[in-house]
Amino acid sequence: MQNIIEVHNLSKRFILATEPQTFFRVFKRFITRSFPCKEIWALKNISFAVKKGEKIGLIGDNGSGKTTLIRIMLDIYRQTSGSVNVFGQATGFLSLGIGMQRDLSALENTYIFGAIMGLGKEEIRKKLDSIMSFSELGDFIYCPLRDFSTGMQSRLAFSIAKEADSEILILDEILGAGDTSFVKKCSQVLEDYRKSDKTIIMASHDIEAIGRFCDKVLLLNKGQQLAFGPAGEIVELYKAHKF
Amino acid sequence: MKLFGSRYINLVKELSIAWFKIKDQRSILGFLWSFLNPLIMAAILFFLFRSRMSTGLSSNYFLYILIGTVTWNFFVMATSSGLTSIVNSPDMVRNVSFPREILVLSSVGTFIIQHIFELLAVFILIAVSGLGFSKYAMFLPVILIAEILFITGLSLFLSCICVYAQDMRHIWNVLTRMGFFVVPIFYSVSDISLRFRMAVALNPMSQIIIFLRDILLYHRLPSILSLSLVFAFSLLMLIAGYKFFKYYEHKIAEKV
Repeated sequence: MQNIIEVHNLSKRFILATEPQTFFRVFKRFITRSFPCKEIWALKNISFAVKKGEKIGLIGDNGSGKTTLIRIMLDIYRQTSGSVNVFGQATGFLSLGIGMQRDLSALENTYIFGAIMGLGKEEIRKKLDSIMSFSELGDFIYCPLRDFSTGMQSRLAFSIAKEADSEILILDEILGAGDTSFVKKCSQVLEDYRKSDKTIIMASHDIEAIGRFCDKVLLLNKGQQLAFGPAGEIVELYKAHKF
Repeated sequence: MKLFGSRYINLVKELSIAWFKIKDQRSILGFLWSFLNPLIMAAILFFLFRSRMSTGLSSNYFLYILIGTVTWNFFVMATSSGLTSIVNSPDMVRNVSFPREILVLSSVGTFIIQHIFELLAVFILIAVSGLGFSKYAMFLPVILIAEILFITGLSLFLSCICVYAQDMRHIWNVLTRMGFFVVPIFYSVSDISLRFRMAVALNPMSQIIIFLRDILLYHRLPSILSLSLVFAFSLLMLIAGYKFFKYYEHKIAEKV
């Protein structure tokens, strides 16, 4: 099996401004070429490879660099050094319901969020029944989103997101919204993903779920790669390290 | 080029229409509210200046001003919303992988939709006034495209700067207010002294307003040389803005 994602010696440095940014300050700094700032290394020397169809878990404490790594793989951030190669179409679910407008109806929002997830109008129209039945919103689809509870919004967003048909899916902490029956449905979707030949990368604090779902796990701590290997092993390592 | 992938055209369309619907609270009255701004401005200027300006003697002075205020209003609204398009959508910028210029294009697109409705309203007024239309009205799309290229290019620059300098929106607000007087909205270029004439005439927005008056009010051919120059300048503005934006695109995602 060939590699579908290759990350080699990846490092990411953030440069944080230490003072509020105003036009004249930025302009002055641009002219004088002096930038008072603080450096933070969010990731240092990360290397791993993912084969087609593998399910990879990302674990680590808050601030360990999971989301930064995901954003670099999705080409949202650019790395400071090292290389990232993603061979194929990758879709990320970093946060559900981005771009949704609270004053528009659920149906209109389906088209907007669908477009953001890379679905065309026709595709959404074809999948509309499946989206609507999965989200269980019934007659609410003509109501503006502002009348929805947070759980209902996430349900709608998840129902749309699951239709995104990429060969690589990158998920960042998207589980745990909605009531028990919906969580069960989401797990069912993930279970289907697990059996499919999609390549999946999933960051989560739910260690048990990662252990069940993933083939391999990458453990990060303060931007350093602590370990990369079989899921069971690494999960045990993380637990031992932590508790 | 990635920009022209059908997936992204669809996204620009969806976002423009969605934002347009929200902006006007999805009603005819909502549109009228936003059209009221250039209309009232034109009415005030008309009563203030109709006996003071040489152009005021012309019988269509109200339409003369209205074409100016509608065009200028479009410029101000579109660039101001383009300016904040990135900083107002941090969630999308940080969490979705897509060409970020889509946000700028969509927010300019929102005001293109509105501008088209406003122009229709102006056409109705022109028809009602008995002025009618000439064959030169066919230049309208060319002039509009030049205007849109210019506004989009400028917005690409502004949206990027606004991420770095948060007070840019206030600066732009002041600049556009001053710009109102550097564009021949209620006066004509020949009314002002030679010293200022260059500053007014060299401004692409002045030229666009002059072209629009040529084809809609005076029923004559706009200067093809100026039109070509403005078009070329607008195109350059768009290319430069696009390059600038693309250079900073990944840094924007970290800063916003």
